[in-house]
Amino acid sequence: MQGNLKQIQLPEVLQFISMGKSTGLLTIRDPKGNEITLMIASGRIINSSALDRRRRLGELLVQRGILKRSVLSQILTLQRTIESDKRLGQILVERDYIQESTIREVLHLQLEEEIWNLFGLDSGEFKFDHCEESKLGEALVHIEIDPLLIEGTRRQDEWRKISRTIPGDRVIPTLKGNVRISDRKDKLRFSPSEWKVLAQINGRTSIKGVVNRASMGRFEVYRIVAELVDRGLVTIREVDRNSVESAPMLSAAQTSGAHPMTTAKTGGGLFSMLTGSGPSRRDDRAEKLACVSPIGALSHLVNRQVETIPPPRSGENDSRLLADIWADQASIYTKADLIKVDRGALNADLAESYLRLFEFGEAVQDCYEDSLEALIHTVDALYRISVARQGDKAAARAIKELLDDLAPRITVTYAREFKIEERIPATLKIAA
Amino acid sequence: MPGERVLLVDSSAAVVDMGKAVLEENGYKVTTASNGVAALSHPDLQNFNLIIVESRLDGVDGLETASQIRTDAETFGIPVLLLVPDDEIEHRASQSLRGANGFLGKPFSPSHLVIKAKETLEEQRLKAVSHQYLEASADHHMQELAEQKIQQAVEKKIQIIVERAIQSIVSIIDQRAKKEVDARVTALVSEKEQELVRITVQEVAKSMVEKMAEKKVAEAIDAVLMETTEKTIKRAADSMLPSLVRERVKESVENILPREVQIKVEKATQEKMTEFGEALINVINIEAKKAIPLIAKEKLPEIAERQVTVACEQRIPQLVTAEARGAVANELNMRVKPLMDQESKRIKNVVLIWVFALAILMCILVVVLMLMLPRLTAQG
Repeated sequence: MQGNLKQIQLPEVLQFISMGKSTGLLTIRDPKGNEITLMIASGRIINSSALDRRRRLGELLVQRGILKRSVLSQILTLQRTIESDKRLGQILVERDYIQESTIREVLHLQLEEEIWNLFGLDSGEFKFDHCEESKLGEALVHIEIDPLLIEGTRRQDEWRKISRTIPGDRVIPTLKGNVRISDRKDKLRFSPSEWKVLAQINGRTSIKGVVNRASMGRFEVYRIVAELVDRGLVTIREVDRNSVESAPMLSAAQTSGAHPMTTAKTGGGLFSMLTGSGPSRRDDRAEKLACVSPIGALSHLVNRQVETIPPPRSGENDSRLLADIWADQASIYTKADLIKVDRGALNADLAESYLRLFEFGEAVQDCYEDSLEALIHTVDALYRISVARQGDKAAARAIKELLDDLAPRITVTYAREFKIEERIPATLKIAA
Repeated sequence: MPGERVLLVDSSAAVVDMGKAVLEENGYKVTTASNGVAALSHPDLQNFNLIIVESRLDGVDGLETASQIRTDAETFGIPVLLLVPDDEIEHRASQSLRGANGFLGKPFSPSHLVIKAKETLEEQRLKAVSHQYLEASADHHMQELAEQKIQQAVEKKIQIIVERAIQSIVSIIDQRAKKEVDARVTALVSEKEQELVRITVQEVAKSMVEKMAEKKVAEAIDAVLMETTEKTIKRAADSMLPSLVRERVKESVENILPREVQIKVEKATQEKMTEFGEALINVINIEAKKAIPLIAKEKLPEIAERQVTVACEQRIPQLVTAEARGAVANELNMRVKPLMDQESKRIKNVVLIWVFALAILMCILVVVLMLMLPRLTAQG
């Protein structure tokens, strides 16, 4: 059975499968070409390709606030080295980080949300292939289709209302200042989940970032934010695509002045202050680059990488390229928010200052891991753009040249095992 | 102190995560938020021990948050620590903290954060303790003052009450004394009245006695004349008659007088009941002048002042009775004795005349006998 989602929508397809208590694989492809496969046994969803993606479970657990990223990072290292034959979930359960039931619950919630998100598709394709249950693989979840459809339909109705208030993932909820502490007992009364969502809004983080910071389901967070808008406490700001982000944060000169240790080591502080250029750009080609951690090193890389990307052929404004990519990454890796985009370049000075002040201790590990992930993903995103604009070879050559230039000059105080010249080609799948 | 609750507010997820981790390592219970609205609307805000808040926040900034926390009745006592970017500190130092207890530069080191939190909490505790002491001492002082004032007021009140009580007691005593005196005087007066009546009756009785005495004497003389001889007459004239008279008088006084007096008194009392008031007063005045001058006029007030009851119930009647009795006795003596003397004189005179007459008669009889006796003997 296959067809177009224009003619027959996903809920109807699922209802059909449920009624027939069918067993097989349902593949859905959206217009962008993203594919998701649902494993269905006797009319129940037992697994999905969405859950099978590499490092998916770990990210989910971190996003839901169940696992600290620093712990995930350790487990992943463990998985890469000692316990390479085991799956992440298995290691986590074996080492008492988490209970199996919790993993199943998280997967269940996640898969439900992903399926509900597909309910809204009005174009794309679907295909259902009957097959033996034994070929479906491990049953990670048991999702009954009927309740899923009921809840999904309800959510769809609500989504329509919510999307009028919150038009997309990148909009930024902003607080109005019109509150008094005395309203605490009436106008400012919130349920615990409402307060949790409210508490994540900072006027800079996109709604997607709020979802991740709240460690809650996307639908629930959107619903609450829409309600806060209705209550007149929050407004929704759309990102102005054409303006260069003017950072509300520390200016370059102030920052370098505020961190004498960094500037003393690099020796570029005074120069930076005079020229007014961002501190992350002060690599000045031949100098030694003393960084606190690989975060500093990756920031230098990203800032140089942006320069190597040719402008788009369409002649579009490219000034927000990095800002947009970084905003996306920071909304996923929420604790990377100490790194800012300042005048088209990343500024990791504040993050590095904290790492130094905390002596790279336990308390900063999550921030470090988030920042590291966000930076690696940014390098990856920029590389993809570079590939798109100048082709594989040129892009690879450009990044290799950058690494060859930077790597010998960079020294890091902490996490020295992180070798930028090894990790980046591995991530980007470029032959060293 | 471990377990103290901290609300950490910073727009950066990284900063709140780091701060939370450090503070929790040091035993604090940490709640985090990214804006002032969330801080101000935390349902349990009043139960936090410390609020650390970034100066720059979306919507309601840190200063405004601090200021609002400081001015709310439920939260004003919670210390607030501002997180201020290092480059702003100089600027901030010259400005008001709008109710915040202090500030901490950003980026901060873990030890700096913990020390500052501890310091702020400690300061707050000391403040609370000193406040407590102050309150206690103020309480004590106030209590002392209040006690003093109350005592003064009570004393004053007591004085007034006592004065009033004394006044009322005095007036009650006065009233009672007056009443008692009145009652006593009335009693005395009625007694006096009775006495007076008795005296009057006695006077009447005396005249009766006189008449009766005359009659009796006459009878006695008749009887003596009839039954006794010269000796008898002589003896009677010498001794029997006066004693007889005395006896008779005594008898009559003892027997007739009380009865008569009683009748008279009853009658007089009945008659005089209506005009008792004025008459009594007069009588009292007169009698009082005579009988109880000291008691009624001088002694009574004095005694009443000291011991009204005693005076009224014991002394007055005694004195009055004694005086009255004396007065009555005197009165009787004065009036009865001369009468009796006079009577006995008269009786004596009458008896003497009769005796003289008898003597003459007997002489005549003797003379006659003597004249007749030789004739008789001659004839015989």
